[in-house]
Amino acid sequence: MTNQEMLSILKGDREAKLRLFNELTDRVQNGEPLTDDEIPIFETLKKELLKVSGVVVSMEAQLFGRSGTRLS
Amino acid sequence: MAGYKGLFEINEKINDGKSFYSFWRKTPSQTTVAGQWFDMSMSPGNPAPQYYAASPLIAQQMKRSTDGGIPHGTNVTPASKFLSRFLVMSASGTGLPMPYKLCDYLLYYPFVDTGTNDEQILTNGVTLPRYTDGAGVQIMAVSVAGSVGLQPTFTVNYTNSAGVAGRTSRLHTLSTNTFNGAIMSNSTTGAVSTMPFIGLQSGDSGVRSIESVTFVTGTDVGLLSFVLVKPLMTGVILEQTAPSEKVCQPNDGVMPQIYDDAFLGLLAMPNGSLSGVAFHGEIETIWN
Repeated sequence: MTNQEMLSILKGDREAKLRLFNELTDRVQNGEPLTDDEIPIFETLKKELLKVSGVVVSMEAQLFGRSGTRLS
Repeated sequence: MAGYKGLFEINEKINDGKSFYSFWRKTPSQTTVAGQWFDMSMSPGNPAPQYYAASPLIAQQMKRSTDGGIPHGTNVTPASKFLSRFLVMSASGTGLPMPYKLCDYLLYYPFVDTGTNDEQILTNGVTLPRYTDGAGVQIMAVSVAGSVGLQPTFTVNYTNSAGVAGRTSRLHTLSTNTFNGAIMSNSTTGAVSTMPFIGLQSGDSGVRSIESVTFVTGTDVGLLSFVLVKPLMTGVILEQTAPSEKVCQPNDGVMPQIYDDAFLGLLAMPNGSLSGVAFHGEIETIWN
C-alpha cells in the first residue's frame, strides 16, 4: 500500500481505519516487521482506535418489599 | 523570571536538592547520511521514540507527560528551572564529528502530503504550549514516510512571532535523502538550504503557527510532519573518546530555561550512517 493510500485511510472513516489496523496487526502477529513508513501510520491508528470515546454503564437492580413483592 | 547571581548560588541550589539528574540513550535504526540533519526523537532508546502520530494536518501540542522526550525533572512552577549541564557521547566513531541541537519540541502538524500541489490547510485548534508568542520558534519538516527523491519545492504559510499572519517562507527543495527522521528542507546539494530549519520571510525571527503548506512545483510520495521547536543549545561530538559536555554557566554564560512539561529532543547532523550507533548522555537541571 502506498503512503498516499494509507494517508487517505487516516483521513477516512472508522471502518477503513479498523481494516488497515487489523491488517498491520496481523502482519506483526505473523512475525513480519512493519516498514519505517508504516510505523507512524500504525501508531496513529492505535491512538485513534483504542482511545476511550465513552463509557457505557449497565446496571441491574431488584427490590423486595416486606410482603415479598419484587420490583426489577 | 528568577535567575542566579553566580556559581555560588547554583551550588547552593544543588546542595538544597533543587536539582535533577538523569541518564538517557538513543540508538538510531535509520541509515542516516553525511550532512543531512536528523531528528533523533524518532530513534529507539530511552526515552522511547515518538512518531508524530496524530490525525493528519491537525496541530498537536508536545509535552513530556504525553509524548516523552529527554527527562528534565518534575514541574517546578512557581520556581524556574534551568539546564545546568548536558553531555552526549558516542559508543562509536562512526558518523562523527556530529553537530547537534537540543530543542524544546512544542507542536506539530502530522502527515503533510508531498504528493499534491494543492494548498494543504492546517487546523490550529491548539496554540504553542510554551514560548507562546513564538519568539525564536523555528519550523522543521521531518520525514515520517519515505519520499523517492523527486525534489519538489514547497513553501510554508505561517504567522510570525509578532502575530502577523500570511507570512511565506523561502522556497525550499525537498531533500533526496528519504529515511524517516530526515529534516527534509535540508538539501545537501541544493542552493537554498537554511538547515535544519525552514527559511522564514525576511525580517521574521520566530513562528507562532503554520496555516498551510504548498508544494509549488513537482510532487513526491513521502509524508512530512511540520514541527515547531525552540532551539535551546548547540554542541558538537568530535570523536568517540571526546564526549561533548556543556556546563552551561561557565561554558556558555547562559542557562537555557526549561519550562514545565517541556519535550526535549535532539537534532543531529552526522557524518555518515548512525544505524546501530549508541549515544549516551546525561542531563542536569536546577531550579530556584
